[in-house]
Amino acid sequence: MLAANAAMYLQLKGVERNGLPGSAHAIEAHALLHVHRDKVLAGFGDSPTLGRKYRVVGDDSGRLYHALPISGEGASALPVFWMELDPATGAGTLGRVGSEVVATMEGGSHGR
Amino acid sequence: MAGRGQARSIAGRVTSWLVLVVGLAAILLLPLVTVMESPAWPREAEQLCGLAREQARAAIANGSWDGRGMLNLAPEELEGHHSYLYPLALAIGGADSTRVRVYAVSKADGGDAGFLYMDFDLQSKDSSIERVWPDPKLPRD
Repeated sequence: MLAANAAMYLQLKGVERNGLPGSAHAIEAHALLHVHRDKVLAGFGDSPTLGRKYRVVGDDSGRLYHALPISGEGASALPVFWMELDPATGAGTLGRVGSEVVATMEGGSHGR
Repeated sequence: MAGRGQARSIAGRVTSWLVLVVGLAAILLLPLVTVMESPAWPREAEQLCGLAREQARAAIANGSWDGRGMLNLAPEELEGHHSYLYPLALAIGGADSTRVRVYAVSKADGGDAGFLYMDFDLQSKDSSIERVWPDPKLPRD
C-alpha cells in the first residue's frame, strides 16, 4: 500500500511538473536573447551569443534576432524564438516563432 | 485462546486502516508541500553571480581586465546544481561607468524556472539583482 501511495505521489508530481510552463531550453533561449539585447545596447551586438542549446543570430537591419538550436538532437536552421529590438533604446518584444509575444522589454540605453 | 486471536485480528484491522488513512493523507498533503516549497535555483544563482562579481573584481585588480567591454568568466565557477552562469561579464552604462552585469540561468526542467542578472559596481559595494520569470505563455520545447 505504501508503494502504491509513493507511486501515486510520483505520478501527481509528474503531472504537476508537466503542467507548468517553461522548460530549461525555453528559459535559456529567453535568457540568451536578453543577454544579446544588453550586448547590442553596449555596442557588442555583432559578437556571437552562444548558449548550451541555442545561438542568437541577427538580420542586417539590427532589429530582428532569432534563437536557433545548435548542435545535438533537435539542431535545426529553423529559429525557435524571435526578438524585435530597437537597438537605440533596447525596447523590444520577444516570443516563440508561430506564437504570440511572450515578453516585452523596456528601453534604457547602456551606452558603450 | 480464541480471545487472543480475535484481539490480533482487530489489531491487524486497525493497523490496516491506519496505513490507509496515513497513505491517503500523504497523497493529499505531499503535492501541497511541493507547491509551497520555494524553488532552489534563485538563491544558488545569486551566489553564482556573487562569484562572477568576485572574478570580475579580481580581473580588475590583477590588470587582466580594464572594466570595459566584456570579460569571459572562468568555466570552473559556472555550474551549480540548479542553475549556471552565462560565461560573460558585460560592462554597462557607458564609457564612464563602472557598472557590470552578469547572468545566471535556471536549468530546472519546468517548474518555477527563470533567469536573473546581477548589476554591480566595480568600485563600490553597490549591487542589485533582477529576476526574470518568463511569461506563463512561454511554450515548452
